[in-house]
Amino acid sequence: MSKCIFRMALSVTCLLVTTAGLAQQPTDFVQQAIDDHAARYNDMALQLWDFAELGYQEERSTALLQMQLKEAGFEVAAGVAGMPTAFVASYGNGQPVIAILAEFDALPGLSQATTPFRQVREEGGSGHACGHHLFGTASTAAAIAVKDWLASSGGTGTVRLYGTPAEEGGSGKVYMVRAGLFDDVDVVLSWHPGDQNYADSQTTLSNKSAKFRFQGVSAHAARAPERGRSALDGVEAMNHMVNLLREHVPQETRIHYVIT
Amino acid sequence: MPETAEVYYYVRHPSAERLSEIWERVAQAARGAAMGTGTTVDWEIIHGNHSKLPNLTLARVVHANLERLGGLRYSPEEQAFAEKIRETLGRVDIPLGSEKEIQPIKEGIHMGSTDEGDVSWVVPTVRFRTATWVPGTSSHTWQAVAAGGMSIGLKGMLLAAKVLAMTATDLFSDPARIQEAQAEWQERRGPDFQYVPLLGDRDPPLDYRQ
Repeated sequence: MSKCIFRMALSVTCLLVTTAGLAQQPTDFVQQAIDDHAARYNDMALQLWDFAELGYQEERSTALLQMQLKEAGFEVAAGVAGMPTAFVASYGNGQPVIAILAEFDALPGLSQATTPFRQVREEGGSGHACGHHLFGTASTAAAIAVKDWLASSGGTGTVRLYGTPAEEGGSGKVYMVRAGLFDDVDVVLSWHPGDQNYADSQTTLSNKSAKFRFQGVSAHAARAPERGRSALDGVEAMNHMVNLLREHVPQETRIHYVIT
Repeated sequence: MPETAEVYYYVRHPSAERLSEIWERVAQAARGAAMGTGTTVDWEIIHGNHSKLPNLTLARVVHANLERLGGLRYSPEEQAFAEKIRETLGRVDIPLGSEKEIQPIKEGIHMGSTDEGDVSWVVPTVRFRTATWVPGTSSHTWQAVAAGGMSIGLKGMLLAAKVLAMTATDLFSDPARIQEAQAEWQERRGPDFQYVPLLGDRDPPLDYRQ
């Protein structure tokens, strides 16, 4: 009995070794798939850099990414979670579901040429100062390479690319989470442009903002001041109280305000 | 005498739970201010993000792939471009040349915020960075726009694409690693965690850049 099991184990091992010898390693396969199309991805990234569209206005950027994914065989659901420029592209079937995040919004007022000195391309124009054109393109390229590998290996599993708009202050991903779009996902992979190469296991700060609107009663400031109530008094009183509050909050708290 | 006035408040704290408590005290100050000045107050939540929940299991898979590929090699033209950019950066701690290296996995706290935070509380999430900008460059600067629009940025991008794809195939090929990542995530979240978006039920602010 034990001999028989041993023989079976041996033959299975031989089979695995043979298969591995014939087939390319998955990680080599996807590297090759990206290198094969590097020129196209470079061109895509430079197009997004040139569009430099702001949060929730990324129409051309999202269309370019979606087109690449559709051509590669992904099913694309566009305009998800109430955001016209958000999308989810999916390929494969069953578990596990691995999702890759893509961002593509730019920042206002940061137009700049590809020169190593300050040179504005377009006065008052926007620019990809957080590198989201690279973010969106690399993630799309990776999703397509993984899809190619899934297709060639015949393995089960689903790869998804989440097109997440308006990262810069628009919180696009929060609406996608709230809508349950990540509920069946097993792992999320993401990256970000930077000035060094490293895996990031840091935490960040949570944040929340609101516009507080005070309503008063208008009156003639000299003739009938007793009839009036100043909305600005409300703002000033609030600011004063919040400034006192700073002494009594946990040290790592940050509170910022602007009268708008 | 102004009939309307508006103030924009922005509060941060490492923990979303603590932040909600602090936020309620700010809201109480608003109510108190209105009461005392005979005005009324209302507020519109503009945005809210959770902090990022790290995942070391996944970070290790990413780190191994970064190590396999190595950092970036500049051409002589890129080196010259990088040296010129460096002259505009002022005092920086990160040396030129570090784009060639892979740094150790970063832990601790990054004093920023991202909407990726919310994703990390509902699914185990990992992120990494590549040197798409000249070492020492901060995000949200013209130096980042410049390097991102030329070959330095593109080299960093292709490295990132490969690391993402290799990490995905590693995980597809090793389901036990996914389970390990999910176990770590469960432990970090805690047994009683329930996801509540900090921005409540508001609709996406589609016109916030108009």
